[in-house]
Amino acid sequence: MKSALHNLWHALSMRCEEADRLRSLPDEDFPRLLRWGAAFHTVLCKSCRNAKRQLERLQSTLQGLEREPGVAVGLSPEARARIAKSIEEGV
Amino acid sequence: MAPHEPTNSAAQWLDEHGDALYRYALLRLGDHARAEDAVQEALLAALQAKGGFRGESSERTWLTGILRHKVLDALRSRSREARWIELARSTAESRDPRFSDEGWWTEPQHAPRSPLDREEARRALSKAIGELPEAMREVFCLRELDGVSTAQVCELLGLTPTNVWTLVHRAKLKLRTALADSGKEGETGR
Ligand SMILES: [Zn+2]
Repeated sequence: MKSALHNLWHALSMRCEEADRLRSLPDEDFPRLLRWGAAFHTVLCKSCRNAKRQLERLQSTLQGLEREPGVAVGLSPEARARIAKSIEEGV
Repeated sequence: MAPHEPTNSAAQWLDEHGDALYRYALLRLGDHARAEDAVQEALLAALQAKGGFRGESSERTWLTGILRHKVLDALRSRSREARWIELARSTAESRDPRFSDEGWWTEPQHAPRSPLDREEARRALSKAIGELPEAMREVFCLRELDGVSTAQVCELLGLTPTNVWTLVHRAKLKLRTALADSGKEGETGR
């Protein structure tokens, strides 16, 4: 009982740093009480609400990155020629 | 020809998908030579496994799946020792200056500014991922881009869950800052 109360107190008195860490890590890695604690903190703390929006922007940009990488990087002509040669030789 | 065999030869795959495959590998491996090798190995493997293409996905998706395995092999091949030295360096940075010793934000956090130009945001993000320390980039890409579970990342790279969490969180803090900075530059330019 004492330890359950201690855990509850820890979740309810969470600081920004721990809340930010929990928001940015996979939910399935942490107990529900901690995630609720982070969510509770976020509702009350303006900076954490803004940090959450920064994180959401990062996530949505990451999703777009896989579809369109945003960089016009490609194989160099030398690398392309080397790979083409190895394909031709089948090695 | 079998009904589901890809119609293209490996040379055509190189022509049509080479750049995209290379970008996929480069983002994760962070090294031109290693990325080129991974693409070469993937195309050779694809050539041998032609019959494995079932036509259920696009050819690009099929090739990317093969490349993914080659990238994982390349990540695995980096010695554990090298990774641990790198990890120690990445996590030995002093406390994150964004937080006080007591764990509060040192500066108020602001909501993201006006909608960022998507193209510009992706460019800034690609660049920032490329600049992450190696161990941080590996873990971040596996977890966040490829959706590999923390347990699998630990197994694959010989790390503990705490290592993985620290690296992912630090990577995200760095990337958030890079995105915010690119937004600022975009705004002042308008
Ligand atoms: Zn807070």
